[in-house]
Amino acid sequence: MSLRIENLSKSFDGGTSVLDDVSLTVAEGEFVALLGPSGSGKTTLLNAISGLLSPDRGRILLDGEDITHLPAGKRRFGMVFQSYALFRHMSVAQNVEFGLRVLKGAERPSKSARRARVAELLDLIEMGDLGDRYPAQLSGGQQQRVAMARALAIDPRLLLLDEPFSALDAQVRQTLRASVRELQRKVGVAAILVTHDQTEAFAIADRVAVMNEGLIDQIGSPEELRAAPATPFVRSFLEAGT
Amino acid sequence: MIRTFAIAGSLALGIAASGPAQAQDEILNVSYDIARELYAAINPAFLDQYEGGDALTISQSHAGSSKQARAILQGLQADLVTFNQVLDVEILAENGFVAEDWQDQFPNNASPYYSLPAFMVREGNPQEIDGWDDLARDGVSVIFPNPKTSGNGRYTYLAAWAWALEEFDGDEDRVREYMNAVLDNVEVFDTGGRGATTTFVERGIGDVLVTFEAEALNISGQTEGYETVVPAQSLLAEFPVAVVERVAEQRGTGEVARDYLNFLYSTEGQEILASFNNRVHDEAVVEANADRFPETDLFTVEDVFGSWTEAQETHFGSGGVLDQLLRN
Amino acid sequence: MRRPLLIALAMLFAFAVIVLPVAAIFTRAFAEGAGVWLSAITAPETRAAIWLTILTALIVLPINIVFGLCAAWAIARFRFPGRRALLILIEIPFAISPIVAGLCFLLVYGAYGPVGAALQPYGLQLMFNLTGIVLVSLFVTCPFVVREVLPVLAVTGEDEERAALTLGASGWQIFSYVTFPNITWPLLYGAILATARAIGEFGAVSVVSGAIRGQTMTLPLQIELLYNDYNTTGAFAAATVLALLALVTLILRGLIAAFHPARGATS
Repeated sequence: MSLRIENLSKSFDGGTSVLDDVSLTVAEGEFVALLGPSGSGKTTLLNAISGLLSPDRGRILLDGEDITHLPAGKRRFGMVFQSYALFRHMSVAQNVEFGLRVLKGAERPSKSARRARVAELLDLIEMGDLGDRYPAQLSGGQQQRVAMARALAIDPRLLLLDEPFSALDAQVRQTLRASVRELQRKVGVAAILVTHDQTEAFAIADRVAVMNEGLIDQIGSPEELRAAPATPFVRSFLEAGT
Repeated sequence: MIRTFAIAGSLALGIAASGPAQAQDEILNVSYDIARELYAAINPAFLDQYEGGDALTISQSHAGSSKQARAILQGLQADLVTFNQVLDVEILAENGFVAEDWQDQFPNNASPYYSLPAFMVREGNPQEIDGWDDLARDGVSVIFPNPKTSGNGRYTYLAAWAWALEEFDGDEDRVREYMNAVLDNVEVFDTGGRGATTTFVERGIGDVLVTFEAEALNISGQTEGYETVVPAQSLLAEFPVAVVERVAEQRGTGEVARDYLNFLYSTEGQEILASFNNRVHDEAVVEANADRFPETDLFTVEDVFGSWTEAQETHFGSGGVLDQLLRN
Repeated sequence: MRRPLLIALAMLFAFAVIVLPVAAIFTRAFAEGAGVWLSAITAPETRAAIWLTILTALIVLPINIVFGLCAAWAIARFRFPGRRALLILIEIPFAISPIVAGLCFLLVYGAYGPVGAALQPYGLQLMFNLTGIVLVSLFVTCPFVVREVLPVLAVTGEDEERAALTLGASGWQIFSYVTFPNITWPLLYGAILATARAIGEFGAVSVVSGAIRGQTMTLPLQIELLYNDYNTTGAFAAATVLALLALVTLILRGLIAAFHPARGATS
């Protein structure tokens, strides 16, 4: 799969443009991080990609197909939220199963098929025997992993992560970061992660896009960015991050 | 938004609940508050002797007659009205619901029965209350409802005024003096007839309750320890009836409504009315009940005050005579 | 030292204002014996009144639930022109005296009002019948469900709903799997409040009912009628039925509190 974002722009009622002519490509299996301070537009960009937000101008192409105005539910992008957004009235297993349960008609797998897939995913996140627990009974890290599994259950073409680790303490964050990266590699799905934490972005991503006031100042591998920061902002942001 | 959907939903209900054209085998008699028992007795008697009575239903609605009149103006589907205030039928006439000459449509000014303000006293009449002059006497405690809020109270007030006018040969100063004295003797002003009765009977306050003779007879007939005293003069209280033409025409019930009201003038109807302590006009029935209804001279509102509307404006309106008297 | 005094005052207040009057109802109702009480509440007109009251509540309840949910959902999730106005509109039934509300309904939906007159040629009558009673009952009860559900919806669940959306759920699936479980208790509570209100409503219904005996007399109206008819025992007997209906409401509310302590504590 290849994702191509062309000249995306978005402004809100105040007239301030939150996204200013942003372009980006993501290749199959690639892990891209959107890095920047708050207000840089990174979450807006992610929401536009997921379909939760409609851009004013520009296009989003998936494998050449224009999905700019395709409803979020039809894009088959798995999304992990900052607040995990687990369904509090459902068990872990039911949470993970959700994406499969809401499929319609012929697409919907049988109950046993669903159950098997859920078990598979729970093993993947090493929570195989916690399927009957409820989100309130889980730690932050566990909830995060369930959110991942839930997003992966629908066999997504793209994984979108919105500051998924910011609510966790440093220790957990590191471990989780590593396991997410490993998971992503194993499954082979492309991923876009939004973060303000430079260490995190550099540790997890293949390429990092540094955003500033609605623009992508520079995009490249962590090494490229460190070696040759393209703008004063990038330079100062990276310095501040170290 | 809620209301829009609610309206839509209830419209559907309305279709179910109201039906397109209502069946013509039902008529609605919109009446005043205390006439419940009366019409509970009248209706079966009417249906018994009426051709087609088996297929006919008579529905009753009872509330304050002014409230009923207003409801009819807003669409309450009354085929006929049986009120206790002429004013309320007048309002219907003014708005085209009832014929302008409604009072000529039935005998006795379209009033099949009548009553008059009278006195109810405690057994033995310890205070010896015989007439209107006694109400102004020192030390007599009088109970009647507030004329501002009660038709019953208004009748009492006007009756006293009318008596005083005649007694004092039209000297308005002396009339006002008298009225003041009476009002001063009122211990409690209840808002309605029911309240006044409760005060007098259940709370035991007052020496005399001024109310319609029919009421007084009903109560003293049912409860021990009370007597009814009819003053030598009083005020005619008519109970007007009328067909609500606008509704009856639409529903095709005009004939039935007229027949029903005419029944009230038949011997049987008049007997039932008399059994509820109302005075009637049918000579035979009057004779048979002569001992229960002592003779009394009746003034009419038209004679003394010109019309109900004039009486209302002059006395009961804001700043009217009653207000002036109460201020002293 | 102050605490016992406060408790005593509260108890005294509750006793004087609640216990005493309610006890008086039952005492007076049974003053002439259980037989008289029984015949009073089974009198045809009282039976009709009981049924009409229950029927009204049964009609009003589902309508309130559906539209309370819709309004709460719309207000909590969307920004639209008139949103704030809708919020205020919903509070209006609390601010307006029920009698005034009844009069307004007469004005608009009565046979000679703008809406009523338009419908008259089709033989549709909206006032002085069950429809009128239902309409005003809806008016006085519509805020309850919204008021209970809206705060919960406004604070929680939006992220969950967005997650469900990205997972491919349709609007209806989002509502039934994600939203509804979050608001079941507030919804139930609001529904009970609304029902209790509908059962006890007097002023507004009094104006639009038309007082047709055996047809448009609700239980509260019938109680007034019996009292005015000098049938005090009958009036209090009917009042005991009303009190019992209220008791059922209280019990349901208590059950909810037992199963969902948070809900019980807030009220």
